[in-house]
Amino acid sequence: MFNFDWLSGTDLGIAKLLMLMAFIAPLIFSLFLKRGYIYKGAADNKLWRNLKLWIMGLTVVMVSVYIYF
Amino acid sequence: MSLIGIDYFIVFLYLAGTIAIGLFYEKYISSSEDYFLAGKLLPFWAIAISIVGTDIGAVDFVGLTGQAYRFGIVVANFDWIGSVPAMILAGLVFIPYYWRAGVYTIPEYLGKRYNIYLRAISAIIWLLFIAFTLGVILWATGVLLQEMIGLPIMVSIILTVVFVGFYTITGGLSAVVMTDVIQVVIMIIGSLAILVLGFWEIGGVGSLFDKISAMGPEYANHFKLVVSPDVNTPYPWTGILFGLTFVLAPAYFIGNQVIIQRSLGAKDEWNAKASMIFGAFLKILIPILVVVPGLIAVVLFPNVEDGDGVYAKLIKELLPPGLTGLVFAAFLAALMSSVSAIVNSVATVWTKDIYELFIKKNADDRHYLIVGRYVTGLILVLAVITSPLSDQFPGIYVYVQTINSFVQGPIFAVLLLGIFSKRITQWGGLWGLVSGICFSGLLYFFKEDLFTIDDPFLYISWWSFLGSIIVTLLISVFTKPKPIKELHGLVYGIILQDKDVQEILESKTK
Repeated sequence: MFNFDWLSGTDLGIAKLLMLMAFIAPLIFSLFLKRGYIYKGAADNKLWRNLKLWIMGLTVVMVSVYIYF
Repeated sequence: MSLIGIDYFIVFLYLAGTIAIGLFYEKYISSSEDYFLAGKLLPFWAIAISIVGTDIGAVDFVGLTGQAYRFGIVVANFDWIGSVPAMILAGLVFIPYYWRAGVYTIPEYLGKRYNIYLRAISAIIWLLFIAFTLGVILWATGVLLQEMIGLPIMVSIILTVVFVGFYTITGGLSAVVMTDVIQVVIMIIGSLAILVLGFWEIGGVGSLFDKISAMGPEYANHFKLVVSPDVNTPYPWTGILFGLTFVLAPAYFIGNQVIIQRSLGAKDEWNAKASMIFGAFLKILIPILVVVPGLIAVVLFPNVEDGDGVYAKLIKELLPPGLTGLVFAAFLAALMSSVSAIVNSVATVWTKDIYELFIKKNADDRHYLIVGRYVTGLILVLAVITSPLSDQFPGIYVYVQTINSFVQGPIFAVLLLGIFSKRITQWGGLWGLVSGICFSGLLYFFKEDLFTIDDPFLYISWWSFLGSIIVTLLISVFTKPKPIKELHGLVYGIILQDKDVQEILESKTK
């Protein structure tokens, strides 16, 4: 049980999908955050300070890598 | 490896520059906040680079490269799925919360949320854990320096400690962060030198794939990020997902004082948030610097028994005179950025959570500044004494993660429940933490009977986390929670809804 034996038969494709979800879930969460919260404390509201865009970039890179490998 | 005149010159320039930065920031240290939190003036990019510099240390160069040599690209999970999601969550949810709440340390939060016992226990556990971690880092460095230049292990450890101690004690967090920035740049340049020459030697990236794939079935998983639990590896996907992604990674980026302290020194809330997310971008690059060299070593030196020795072998075989000094400086940079960050955090936890609380209350700020500096020196001495212990374990990196799995899961469980639920009681949290750590110990003690893989630290972290959650919830059901007024500023929902608390916190941070 401690080895997650019940998951040992899981297809590695499903496993990869679960791992991809670990990257996609924070992106979805960030998209629901209000603009005011994302920019709170920022010196200005320029586009490059929008952290949602940063997270999108991170997610695209990571999902691509995990799909390839 | 033999260093020649130009190599020594490069190393000397690097060391002199680092000392100069320590001395430069010494004049800006006039209070304990300057020393522990850099006066709350740090920009996001410096914090992010510092976080990565702290994270990629000698242990990574030696241990992670060695693990990549033995197990392949699956080790990159530690910097990708084992960092990026947790860093995003830390940046969006936890860091702004800590920053606005004005907390100095994680044990300080736990003490306010639960009780003084939990604060003391978590601080002591953390201090012990860090002392051992430092020992591992120093020993790994000593081993490599011995292979590189023939310096006896303990001599190199003592020299490192004296040097790091100097600029950390004088310049505080400002010096630690700013030296980290320079150190990371040197690390990247030095690592790229190995990478480029390694690829040149084996015939390019395509050749790396072809040659390892042709080496036989034992290398079949070397280019897989998702490995079946049926394979005898410390990194099966179940452990990576449940142990690393769900427990160890969030525990590290949300509950580790060494990491959090930098973001607490941010100049505003946006910089605090952005530091963690920008840091995630930098983390993506780390496997290119430490994992790929391990794969290159598979092609160049296919029959090395001790994986931890391949990094030194790469330097010795690949680098021409002149570049050796640069890589040597990069290695020193990686070492010093980790050690300085850790000792600075230890000094903060000791001063705020032990000394100020139990030994000398209400002293003037100058007194705590001096204590912080003395403790920095003391913890370095302790690390020197404990460093030979890591020699008893064959895989240095696994050793660090094993210690991690003992405490990280339970501490993260208590932290998570404490932040998100006002119903969790002080006794629930206390016993949840204690029982979780005991559970970790039991799992490790009986690991040969309970687990089928040799190093089940990822599984241990998951089960101890789960054990802590269950015990904390159960005891909380049967004990009385704190009144709401005592939880103001400590539980996520309450702090966000309470206008009075928000106004007080706003005024504190101005």
